[in-house]
Amino acid sequence: MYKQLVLNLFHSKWIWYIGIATIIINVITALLPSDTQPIILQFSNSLNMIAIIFTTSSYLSIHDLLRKNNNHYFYYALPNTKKGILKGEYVYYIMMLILTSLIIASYLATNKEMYYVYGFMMIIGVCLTVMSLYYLGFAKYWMRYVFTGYFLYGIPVVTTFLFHFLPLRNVNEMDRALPGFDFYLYHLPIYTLIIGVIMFILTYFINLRNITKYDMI
Amino acid sequence: MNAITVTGLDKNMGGFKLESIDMNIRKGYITGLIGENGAGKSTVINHMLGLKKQDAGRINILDKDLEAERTALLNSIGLVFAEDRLPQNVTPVRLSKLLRTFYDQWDKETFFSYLKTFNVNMDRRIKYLSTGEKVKLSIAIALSHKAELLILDEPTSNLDPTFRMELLEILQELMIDEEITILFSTHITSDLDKIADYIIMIDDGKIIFEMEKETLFETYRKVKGSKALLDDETKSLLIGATSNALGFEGMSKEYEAFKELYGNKVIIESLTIDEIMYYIKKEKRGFDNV
Repeated sequence: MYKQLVLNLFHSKWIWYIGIATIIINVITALLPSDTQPIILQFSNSLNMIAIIFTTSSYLSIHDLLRKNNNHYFYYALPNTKKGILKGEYVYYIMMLILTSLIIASYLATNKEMYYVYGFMMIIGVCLTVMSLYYLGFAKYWMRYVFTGYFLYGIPVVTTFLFHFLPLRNVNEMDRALPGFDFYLYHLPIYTLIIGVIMFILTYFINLRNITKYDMI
Repeated sequence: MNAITVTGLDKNMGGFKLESIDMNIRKGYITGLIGENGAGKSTVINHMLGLKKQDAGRINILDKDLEAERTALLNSIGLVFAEDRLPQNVTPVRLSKLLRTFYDQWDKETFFSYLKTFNVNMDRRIKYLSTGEKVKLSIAIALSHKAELLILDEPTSNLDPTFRMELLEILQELMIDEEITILFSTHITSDLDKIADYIIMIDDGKIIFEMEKETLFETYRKVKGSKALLDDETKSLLIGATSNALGFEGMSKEYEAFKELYGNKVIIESLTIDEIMYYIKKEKRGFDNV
């Protein structure tokens, strides 16, 4: 597990730099006088969105990097067990989710609009779900469908952003009530997150059973 | 005693199949694995490394279970891939730091010493190294973690002749100084003429022969003679025979019989590994008259 974790960290240092820089900028923004914050927020809103996209899709960008020049042949021939590789992948994603949560927490410290928690919860729940769907075939296909993974990630996450996050923001900023949408805006995120966590755990154990049965390349 | 034993390996990959592959790579010797491009050499090697999973059959390497003891096994194997699979955006120095995490006995001093000897720039990103330098880097990696078994998949294909000779000398020195086993897959068979102890030929996913090199050279000889001597009986004793206006030539196991029958009318010559492969392929394709 440790070896795969080191390998993933080796290939994702820029994601970590962006994430940590975002957190630092958020914290600095939170400490600035309230009249200067809106100017910085215009820039940091985009930075936070980019950082969250990078951290939540890091498994895809790492697989993409590993597949360049068929590097994964080299890496998979290094001393490591297949179960160790799998565990490393899952633990790495948990670390990325922790980084994502820290980015969100630091953003909320600047923005202070707590309804965003539901939006971010929904996005993380969807990301966990799509990551689990991508990894559902990992034991059988390993890294052969990274491109499909990008679609699997991009379409649901963009849809969630457009049809949940933005309406949530609009409803709260414009102080409008959408009758019958309370469940959709405020309760669905919690269930989505729970489903995401369950799928994450389930796919891990499914993969663990099947990881030695198929071609790695 | 074998370093690698492959028994009944079957693998169907759609357009290509490995069929009933049986191989014995003897411990402490150099075994050459020969075959033309696309014969299945790299595919067999990928199965030995656990990168591919066989449909049937068993692979035993260094008396360890391929899945249960994968880490220990791969620690014992030094590998050179046929194609460039190295990460491109790192330098050899940075790669060494990563490899230290994976290999229990990674020897950075030996690694840098090989790079210096091979004249590979340690601080240049791998993507900017030449093809030959990348192969030399792969070889340096394979030799820098006290491997018991070296699996070299076409290591000399992209090397200049001078370095090829140097590499063969290094391998011979390793055989003398250390108890290692080498599996050397290549289609440049002249390298094996010099250093191999055993030869295995693979073609179209099947093992054609597995023999001690000296026995191979004693078993097969080239037979040449005039066309008048070629009849159904002599044809049946020849492998991959061709004939033209000047005469016939082919490979035979029964060269002693030719000598007895025709005396000085036939010429019996030794063969190189290249020529043995050539005649076997010819026999398979059914070429006859040129």
